[in-house]
Amino acid sequence: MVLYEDTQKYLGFFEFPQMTSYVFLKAFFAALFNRNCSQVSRDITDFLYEMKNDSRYEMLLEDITFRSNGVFMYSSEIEDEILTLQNVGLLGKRNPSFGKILIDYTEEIVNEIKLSLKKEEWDLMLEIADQFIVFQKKMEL
Amino acid sequence: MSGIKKQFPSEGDKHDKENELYADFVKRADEFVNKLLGEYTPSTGISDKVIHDPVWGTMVVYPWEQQIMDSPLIQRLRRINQVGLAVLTYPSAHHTRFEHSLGVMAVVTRMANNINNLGRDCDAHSEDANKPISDGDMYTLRLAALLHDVGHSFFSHLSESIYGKMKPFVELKRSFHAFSSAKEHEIFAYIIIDTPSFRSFFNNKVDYPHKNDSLLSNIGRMIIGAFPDAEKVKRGNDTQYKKYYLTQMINGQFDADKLDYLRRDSYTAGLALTYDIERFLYKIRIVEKTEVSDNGKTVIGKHLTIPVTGVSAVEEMVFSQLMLNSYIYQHQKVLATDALIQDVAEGLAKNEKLEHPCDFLYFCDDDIFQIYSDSGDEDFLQEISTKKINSKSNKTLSDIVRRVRMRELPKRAFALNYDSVDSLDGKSGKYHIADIADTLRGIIELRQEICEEAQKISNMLSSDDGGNIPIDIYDVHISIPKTSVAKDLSNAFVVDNRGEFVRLSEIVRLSDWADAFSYHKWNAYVFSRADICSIVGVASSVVFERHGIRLNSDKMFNNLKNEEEVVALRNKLKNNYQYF
Repeated sequence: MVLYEDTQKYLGFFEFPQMTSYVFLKAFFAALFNRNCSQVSRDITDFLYEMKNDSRYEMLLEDITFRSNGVFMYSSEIEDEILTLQNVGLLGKRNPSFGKILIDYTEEIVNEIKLSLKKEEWDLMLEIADQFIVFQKKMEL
Repeated sequence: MSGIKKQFPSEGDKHDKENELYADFVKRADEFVNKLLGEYTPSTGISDKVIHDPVWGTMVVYPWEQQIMDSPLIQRLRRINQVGLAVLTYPSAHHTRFEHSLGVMAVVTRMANNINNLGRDCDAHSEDANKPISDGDMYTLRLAALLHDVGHSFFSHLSESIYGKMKPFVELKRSFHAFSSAKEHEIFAYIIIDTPSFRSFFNNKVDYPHKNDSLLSNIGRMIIGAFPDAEKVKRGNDTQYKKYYLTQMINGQFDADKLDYLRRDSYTAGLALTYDIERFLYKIRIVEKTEVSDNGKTVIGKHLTIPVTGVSAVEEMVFSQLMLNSYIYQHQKVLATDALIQDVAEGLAKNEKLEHPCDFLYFCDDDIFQIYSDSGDEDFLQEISTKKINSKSNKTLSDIVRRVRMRELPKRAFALNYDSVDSLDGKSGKYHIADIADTLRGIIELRQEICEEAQKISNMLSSDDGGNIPIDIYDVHISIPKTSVAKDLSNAFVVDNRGEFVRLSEIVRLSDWADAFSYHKWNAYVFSRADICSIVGVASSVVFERHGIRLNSDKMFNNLKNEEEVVALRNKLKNNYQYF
């Protein structure tokens, strides 16, 4: 559909995030699953904050904001989207106190998500996933 | 890691791209501030004043606060409704950003007094050992409270949601760390306080007793949720202390802003929502946490927090926040009105009145209402009220504003929610509400598509069947909220029984139930003019299905007032016109 010309002009005033926080988190867990990681620590906020500070990944994480006006860094978007993905059934938890996130994806879902992204976006997602796996191993040591 | 960003404006090279952009915002905002403050001379030699507030009772306003409060910059907040156009749904919710700012000042004073009176600091590093929060800090807090909403524009968060997406503003947020997580109106407040005109006004015309070089910068930082620099205390050694609590009381998880709006919005709307403020004030305290700064020095951070025994008051606040969101901010009539005003903003932008985010600062609620009025600024009216919003439409800005003023609000033509969507396949997530909301929010042509589909149906029907009516794009409005609401309270930190900081979410599972609540309350709406509701309802269902959303054929028109009519139209189109 061709948008009305002056609607296009109006939209020209605006800029929207390349990826919504929901799509980012959904794809991030898909990339982790693709790297055979099916269980991650609930606390991914500090790691993703570092990623947002990396100019290569900044645009992917643009819709995610981080607030540090407390003792801990937090992000409403990350918390919201994890809960949403749990509602969707893509993430699981054994019980409310369980400190880890279970990634309940299937190959089919991962493939669907991969196809919905541009190739370069998916490649960056895999890079972030690889870095997270290293980060998580370090934290466990 | 590469691409290290600046934390605040003016750091690094003053002529680099980021600082130049910031300077442009300051220059534009300065024109606005100068217009309001340039000619203003505050009264001098005045004494304390007493103000009575229905929410917080009697409060004292100091002379220097009156000088700022009486300035056109703050008085303009009287013309910005606190809850935007929710007043058309909750007739008593007439309170403005002005009352709210005074309320925040009142409650931050109560917070500080409680901390001081109850000796809730775990040790004392202030100038007065018996007062954890010094008089100077108290004045700073009150000033920050008074100024915290100075960056608001017409209809509060509604205009913010528009200019916040404009390219220069997005770029500004990207340029500085401190801006990246701040709300748009907070950034404008930071900028306004940083303008030469405001600084000159404050330094030369306001009799503030504790002026210092960093005062206004610190207030700006507190408003955007960033922290003032660490400081050495007079009596201390080399150890530095960071007063995180100053920011946390103005823009933190349980800040004075939230304490005021939760009570004030529900009170004026007539909603029986509350939380135990006395218990909360009794429980809050300042607790220290030792940290190491970038230069290796020890910094003792002083944080505002509550002990784990006080979480019930916070739980009540979360509950109030969710209810307010559901009852007021996401009320379908409020969303319908918001949609109309978004069209007005669009019309003003297309007619070169709102081309830059700073242009929004010049408009308060009544400026928008005056677009349809006999008594407004004639030059402005003649210039703008008869302008069309879109060349494809016959609607003028005045037409849309008239509908808001006369409360001729669009009606619900279609509602997308758990009932109307079919086959929620949890495993694939493909047809889940979250995916639907996210997808639909990204389809910019959705409105045009529904409008054109409705026109197609209208053309198909004879006038006896309610057809042959021209359907304008501004007769159709779409509102697709996010599925989740910000729950920053559940991210609050508390002190456990061992004196350690822990996230509140580790103590109580607030997020889980809060999310489930807001999730099941989620509705996306298509609104339209009353006489074409059924046509737009059917058109919406067709367009949504075209975008891959499976609708429940038995329930898709549930919750609509004209359910029978729209079902009958759908059947008629199917049986008589082979439309499906």
